[in-house]
Amino acid sequence: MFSALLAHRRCLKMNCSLSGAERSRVVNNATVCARRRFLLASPNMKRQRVMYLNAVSRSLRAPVVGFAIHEPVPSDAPQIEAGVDMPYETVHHAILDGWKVIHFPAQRAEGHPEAVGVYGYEFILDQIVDVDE
Amino acid sequence: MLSDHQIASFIINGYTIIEPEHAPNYNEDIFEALRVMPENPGEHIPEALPAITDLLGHPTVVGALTSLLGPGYTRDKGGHIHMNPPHTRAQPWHQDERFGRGHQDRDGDHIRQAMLMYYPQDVTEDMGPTVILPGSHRRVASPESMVTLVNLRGQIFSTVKAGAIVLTHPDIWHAGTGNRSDRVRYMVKFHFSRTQQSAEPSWNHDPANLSEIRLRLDSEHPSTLSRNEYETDHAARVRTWNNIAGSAKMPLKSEAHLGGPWPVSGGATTASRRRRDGVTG
Repeated sequence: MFSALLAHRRCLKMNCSLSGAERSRVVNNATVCARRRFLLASPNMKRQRVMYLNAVSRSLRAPVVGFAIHEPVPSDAPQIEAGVDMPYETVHHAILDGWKVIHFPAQRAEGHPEAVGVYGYEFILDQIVDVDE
Repeated sequence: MLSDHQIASFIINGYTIIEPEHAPNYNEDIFEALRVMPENPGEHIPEALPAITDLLGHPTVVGALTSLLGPGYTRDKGGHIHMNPPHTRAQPWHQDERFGRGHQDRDGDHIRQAMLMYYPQDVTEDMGPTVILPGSHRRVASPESMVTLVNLRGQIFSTVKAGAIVLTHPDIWHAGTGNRSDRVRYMVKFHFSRTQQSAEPSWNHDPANLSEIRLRLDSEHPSTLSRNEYETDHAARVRTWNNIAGSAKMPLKSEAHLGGPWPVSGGATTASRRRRDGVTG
């Protein structure tokens, strides 16, 4: 849950002009400025979960050949790991699971006819999720 | 020497694994020498690790490199000892020096160079093995274009026995992965170059294998490709064979083009459209 302690710490990060004692009173009595009111009114933080899916064409139904998911919590970047399966067969499967496409890959200009292109067509998707801390 | 099928696999996948018979304790001695080495010798590996010359001159290694690069191949300046200590994170995908230091002349339809990776200890999945993407060696990709790529379909890990050597095309996509174990993982890397065009196959070639080899070059795909890529990758494979096979060339266009069983359902038009669009399901 979004604890009072965390809210207090976040307020400090927001360069609030209130003194430390006033901040404590803010947290305890919920008499807050607009920014803090937003934080304290939301026991669960809404954050954006982002996923890259690389498909073999611009079609939503094309096979997915690569992925990376960035969780909306402090963490290291995702890395290459053994034993990992593609989370979705196609971008369309991800949409059915609640992901929203926020970036479609561009139509590519025709490349060199005798050269294999760069890897996959990159779709970027997101989910808005509640984050408990 | 490599066989026709090993050469075909190298052309298709961009790598082959050989396991030379080393002298007793050879790998253990190399491992120990690396363990006590005070610093990385950079490109001066044979000076710092004289025993490595036994590996470079091993008949199995020489045979494999001659098969890929022709007689008279040379070892390039450079090389590197990779040490992957415990608790590291994975490198990003990359091609070695593809965009720098005068390596822009490499061809996707030839084998002009090869990369050798020697592992002096058993490598398990948790020790941060090298990961490679089979078939990626014909894709020229800048570091910038790879920056969002992480786990890719078909990626494989060099979980090998001590003494194994992974020989790759110089442009294979690869990376060291995170070492989750409490053991150091070493790998010694060298690069080699072709010095002459081959007048005939420099491997153990049998003309009777050509039709089977052609079928493999036409039909085996280590990763899912787009419709455009099937065409270009296929052509580049056959050109690669022709560029290294000398007199054992094959026609660019397959005699079996568009042959094969009738579609079970959906009709040829539907099947063709689905292949063109890279559609699954």
